[in-house]
Amino acid sequence: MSVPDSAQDFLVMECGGLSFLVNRNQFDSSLYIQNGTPEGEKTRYAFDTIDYGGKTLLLLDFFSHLQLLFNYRSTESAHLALVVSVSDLSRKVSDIIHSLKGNGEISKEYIALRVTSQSSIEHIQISSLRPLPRLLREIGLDGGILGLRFVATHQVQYFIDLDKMIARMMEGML
Amino acid sequence: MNNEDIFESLQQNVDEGSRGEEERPKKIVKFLVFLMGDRRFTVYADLIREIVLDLPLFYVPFVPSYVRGFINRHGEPYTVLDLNVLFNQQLLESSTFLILSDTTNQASFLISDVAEIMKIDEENIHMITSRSERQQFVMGSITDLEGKEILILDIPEIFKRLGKDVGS
Repeated sequence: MSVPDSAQDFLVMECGGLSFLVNRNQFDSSLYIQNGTPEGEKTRYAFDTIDYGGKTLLLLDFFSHLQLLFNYRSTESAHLALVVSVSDLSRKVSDIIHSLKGNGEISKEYIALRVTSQSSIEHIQISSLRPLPRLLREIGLDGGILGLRFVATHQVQYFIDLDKMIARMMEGML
Repeated sequence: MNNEDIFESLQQNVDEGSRGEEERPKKIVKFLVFLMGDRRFTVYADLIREIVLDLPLFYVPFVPSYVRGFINRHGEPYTVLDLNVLFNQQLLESSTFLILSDTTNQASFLISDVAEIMKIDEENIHMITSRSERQQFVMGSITDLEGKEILILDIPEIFKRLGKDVGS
């Protein structure tokens, strides 16, 4: 039985010569943030807080997390934040957020991720995505890499899972 | 069975054995010999699909250092293993890839260069029966015309090691 081809909206994030795809269904909205560059020492990845409709959201530095993980340096600006509903994330992440101490005012409903400003929504054919090669598939999935897409011989887009990536980041914060 | 019968039986075995040797056609096996740094290794040629040059290498996190990433082979990702890291703990500076014909595992080896294709009589392939730690990824050897030994890589053992290292 052949699977009908379908397309879906993805956020395409370009930074440091690399490109990442995030399923549009994994975040609620995005907003501009003033503080696009880190100031002083912060807890690893816990970048700041931002206001979102009267709620105070924890802003995680996903921009730096990707650089560290994929071993590249980016000098581009990162004035964009993705707002993610905690209820859409796994129990593991939800538990970590609820266990964070000393953040009484911080929303347990949403969190935000600082990402590159070079981001846009694209409608992409699912059939153009590939899983990682079999030998790397399992470890990739565990780390939050669902697959990839070659856009040219010399360019790849990594299809990443926000839930797994957030879990890894937050484990580092505990 | 008395000794006479036993001897006759032994004689028969020897005769049949030598007759077998005369009749058995030589089986020739092809090996692809390649360079990794200045050392030569070989693999059965039928395990290799192709040799490709100058493809960009894409990084993958979470993997052991001998996994250098993957390449784009006709739109399909192929894992790139740097055996120089596995054997000598040194990165191999190269962009020549030996693509394995095993399409299930979609893997390739980073090599310095292809040396030659050798046709070897099956009898001259020396398989090893027990391995030291250093020989973990070697299944045997062949010798070239100058009598120098070239180690045959054991690809399933290399995959087994990777499976163990990445927990799959």
